[in-house]
Amino acid sequence: MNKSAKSLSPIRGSSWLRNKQYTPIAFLAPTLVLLLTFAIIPMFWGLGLAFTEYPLLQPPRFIGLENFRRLMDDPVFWASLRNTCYYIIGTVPPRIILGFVVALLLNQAILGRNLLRAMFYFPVIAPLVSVSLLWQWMFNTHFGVINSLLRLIGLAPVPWLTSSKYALTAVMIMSVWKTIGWNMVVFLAGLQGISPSYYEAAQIDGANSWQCTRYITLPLLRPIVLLALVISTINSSKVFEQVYIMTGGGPGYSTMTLVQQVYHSAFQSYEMGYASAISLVLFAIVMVLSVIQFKYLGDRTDE
Amino acid sequence: MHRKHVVGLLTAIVVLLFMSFATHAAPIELRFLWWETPQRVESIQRLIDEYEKTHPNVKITLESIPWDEYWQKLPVMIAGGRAPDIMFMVSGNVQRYAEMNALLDLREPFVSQEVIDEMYPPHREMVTYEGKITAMPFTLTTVTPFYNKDHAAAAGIEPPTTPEEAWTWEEFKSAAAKMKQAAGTPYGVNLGTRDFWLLPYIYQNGGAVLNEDRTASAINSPEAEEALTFLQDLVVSGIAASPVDQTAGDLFTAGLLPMNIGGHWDMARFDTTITDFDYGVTFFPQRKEAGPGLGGDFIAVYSRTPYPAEAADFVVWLTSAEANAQYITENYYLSPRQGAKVAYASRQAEMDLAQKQAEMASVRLTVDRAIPAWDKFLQVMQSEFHMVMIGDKSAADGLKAIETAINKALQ
Repeated sequence: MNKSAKSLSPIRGSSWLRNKQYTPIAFLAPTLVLLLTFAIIPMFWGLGLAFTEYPLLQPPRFIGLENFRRLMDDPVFWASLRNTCYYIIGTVPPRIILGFVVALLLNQAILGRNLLRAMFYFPVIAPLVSVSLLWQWMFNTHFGVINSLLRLIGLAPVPWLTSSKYALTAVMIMSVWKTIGWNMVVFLAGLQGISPSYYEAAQIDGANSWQCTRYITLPLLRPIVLLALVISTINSSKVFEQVYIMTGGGPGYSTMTLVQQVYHSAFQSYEMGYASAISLVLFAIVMVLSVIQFKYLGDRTDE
Repeated sequence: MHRKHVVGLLTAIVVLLFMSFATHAAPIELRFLWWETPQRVESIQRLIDEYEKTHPNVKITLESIPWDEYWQKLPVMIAGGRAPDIMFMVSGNVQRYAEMNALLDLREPFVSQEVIDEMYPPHREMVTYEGKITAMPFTLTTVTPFYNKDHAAAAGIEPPTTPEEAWTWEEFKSAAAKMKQAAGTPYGVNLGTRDFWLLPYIYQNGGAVLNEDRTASAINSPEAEEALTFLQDLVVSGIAASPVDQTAGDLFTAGLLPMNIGGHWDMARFDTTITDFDYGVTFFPQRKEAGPGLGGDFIAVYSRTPYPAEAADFVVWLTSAEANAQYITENYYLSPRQGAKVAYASRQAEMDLAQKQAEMASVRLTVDRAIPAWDKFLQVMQSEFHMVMIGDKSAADGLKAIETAINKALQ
């Protein structure tokens, strides 16, 4: 029996591959090699660069904590850090809340539901560069459609992208619009995974729709909320393209974000070491936020 | 014939044939990195084709990268061991790459002293690093104020056509305000966004970014403060567009802005985008001293190219008067050679005016912008200028912040 099984084995003469212990490694190897080459090694390389002076065309020179000391004195870094925090606070909750509300509405049997779902999802697949240019014109003080609408309802036009007071808000509005669809899809998938029997039982007990949402939908969606929250936070902390196109980080430093400053330091000043130090700070922020989110939402999910 | 001789002769023929075959089969391949619009890529490709016809042993591959990505990709290519043999540079970056030992010294035997002497003195200074000639000037550029002829006529304004008539700051402000009112446009003028367009006001008022020996900041001066306050006044009063309004330049081509301070090379784009009105060119407003600086495109050879002689030969040919003139005339650039007379197919009067403007350029501004550390404080300088101009900061506070950034970068 054993002998015939052995003779049927497609991997003849390779006892290593037949060993069940190594088979998963063999299957994972291609992905692991790619991950190691393009993510893990560059990550540690970047970590090391944060402690060097590296003008890119010359070899890196170890300078210890000098880049971090310089960060403390750099007003542009503090402005970028502040803006990145504002941006995360200003975009993550609206993305989650609006995504959830839209998903709730489009989970009902309403007319044109599929068309509406496609319309809300469209901004997610639209190229970011194109929509940034479009929104740049929509926010134009004199000729933009947004100010035209404001004038129609009797409000004064707003210098959206040319005033340091409004520029970051304008970028946030565009970013929320761009990502509601993604959160909607995530929440729709979650909503459709909840058995209707819970709602039927609750309705028999006299629960209204708010109570159903509060005591059935939200608790059961907690893992989805955690996923959406972590991914939205990470994406918001990495904001770059829309800022680069719509405002270039200005006026002044009012929309300058950490990734924008990494870009400037790396590719305009050719200070790769300094750019790596800023990246490390960004990494630490995202890590801390993710840990907090897992702690407060993840633990309760396990209960 | 002796058998030994026959064998030797046959061997020699075979070797010669093989060598000839090898030469034909594998010409030297040079990679030429460049940015620019499709029209300019076509222009340069025509020149490459022309060069290859007379140099069959050389094959030049043009790699065009958009401007925004060029300065990311070039250093990464060099650091990653995929450096191009020939590359485009702009005025501010030549010395910086020379400082990093990335550019080949093009002095004799590659470039004759006669050709070096023909360069505009500020350009020559820009490409000279530690006595070496590190790049060849390909174009010369300067700042050009454009105006909408209909808007000027509606306001009853005849913009200056000679350097002597050039507007003073007050006249310039008044003309922009009048045109704005007459045309009913949101602004009278777009001043530009970057240092090349904003610094002339400081230099022509007697200020400067750097001290005489370019070792420390000199920007925190009453002259610079006066200039920035003037620009602030223009923007805050609504006569000039905000320097951060990235759509302001497009308003001019759409006929919704009377004046745009751009560059003469914009005319290549205007030829196809402006159809509803005619535009003119005037002089940059004047003050005490020469104002705008000179810029331009440069071509350099990578210092560690395996084919320095071939790459340098192509660069010398491309920047020769004949080849250079073809590119310049097609794309509304000025000649980087002193005293060169260029015949443009159209807009000759406008280009003659731009040429006169270039001859009046500030040498100090041109050379200051070329220092290797310039890009290390450029971001702060431009951001502070913008904050001052939109009224978020006083000129004094802005200049103080710039001074700190410059001195840190120069340490």
